[in-house]
Amino acid sequence: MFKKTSNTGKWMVHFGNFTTRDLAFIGMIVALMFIIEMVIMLGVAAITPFPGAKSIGQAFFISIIIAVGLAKVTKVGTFTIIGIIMGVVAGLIMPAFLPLLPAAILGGLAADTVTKIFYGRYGSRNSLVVACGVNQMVETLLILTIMVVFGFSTEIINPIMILITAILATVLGAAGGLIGSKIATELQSAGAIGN
Amino acid sequence: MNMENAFSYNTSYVGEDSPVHRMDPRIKLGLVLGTTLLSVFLQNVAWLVTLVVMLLALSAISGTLKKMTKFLGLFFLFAVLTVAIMTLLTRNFIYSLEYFSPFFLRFGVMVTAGMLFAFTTSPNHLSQALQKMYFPAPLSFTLTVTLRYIPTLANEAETIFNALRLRGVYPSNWDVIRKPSYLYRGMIIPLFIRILKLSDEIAIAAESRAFNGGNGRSSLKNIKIGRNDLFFSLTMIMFCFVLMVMDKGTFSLI
Repeated sequence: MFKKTSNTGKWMVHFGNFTTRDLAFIGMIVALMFIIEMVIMLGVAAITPFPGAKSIGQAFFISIIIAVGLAKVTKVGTFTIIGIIMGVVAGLIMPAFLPLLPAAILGGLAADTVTKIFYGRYGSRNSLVVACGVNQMVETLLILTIMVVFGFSTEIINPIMILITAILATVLGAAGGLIGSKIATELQSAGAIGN
Repeated sequence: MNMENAFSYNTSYVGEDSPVHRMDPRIKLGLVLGTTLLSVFLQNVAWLVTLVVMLLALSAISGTLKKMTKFLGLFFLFAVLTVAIMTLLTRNFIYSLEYFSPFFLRFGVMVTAGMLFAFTTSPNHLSQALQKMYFPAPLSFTLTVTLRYIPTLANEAETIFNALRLRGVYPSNWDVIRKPSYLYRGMIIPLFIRILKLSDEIAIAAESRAFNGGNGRSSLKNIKIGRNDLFFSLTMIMFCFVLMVMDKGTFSLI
């Protein structure tokens, strides 16, 4: 349970590989994600009847935050933790829409799996871009598919529309990941994020 | 707009004392899951309406209906806009209404059940319930940090924005699009530096108090499933069963 960290040489508590500092930072990142998501949801989703608008609207901004979080906590599994916490908050507390819970968890899990297979860990620019893109794609696909299962009009959401929305969200998510990695580089050069 | 108030728990949890508030969070979670699943199976609009009315009645009992109306209003606006656009596309109002009503009722069941849970369950109780459901303790710690710092971070963002304005920077939407560095250097970087400092402080404070990842943590007030919870669960199961039978049987109203 207790291990010495390689960076500072201090004794830290570990959850698997995650220190208390990592878990606290992930918690703060999710809090910031939640604030941004709520602003976008009230601003975008309330004025458009197209359910994919929220996914497209949030993909870029949320991915910036996630990318900075992943650049600090580079361990595989971080995205799943972000997904679980964000899913619990969004699915059970606010806006309390239950399908967001499995969508957020599976999105994080998919991003972690892809990163584990291709990059081993987060940190490089490409790993952040790919992870953010994959997460947004899986989340958008799941949310819109659930909407169809619940009987939403196929004239507004049809499979082609779902695919186009998912591709748009993926591109915006990847772009957000790229910007996030640049912010992380700047924070690293300023000494705010240690390697 | 005061960001701290906008994102405080007051927008979600309503701390009253009602039978619904006193119910075990696990039972309420079961209610959310059960009604959501049931809404997928129900085909008849009348039984879906009955389910929504039942949930609204529970929120009235809990005293959260008034607060819920604000959010349900947004949902209603979304429904009206969708039906209006569909009417413009098909030039048939009745068809649009019939086409969308099952979806919006299912969606309504989910939203109302979710809000009933959120408005009547304190974050502390939710955290305890998740621990009882074998949610890993360190994740419970992360969840607690998230819930605690949502209003604080909203306040920090507002402070940083006010500091920008004090320096004479009033970026309009067009300015932000034309020069993203207004947002990037002026808002995002300072906010991240603040987050990094805060998370370090939390970790140091937790570890200096012998925090061991939250395993084996005890609580002054424990939640447990009581007789009232069991009675409520049985009543709800019977109610849902009756709705299912009515929906599949010959009792269809529409």
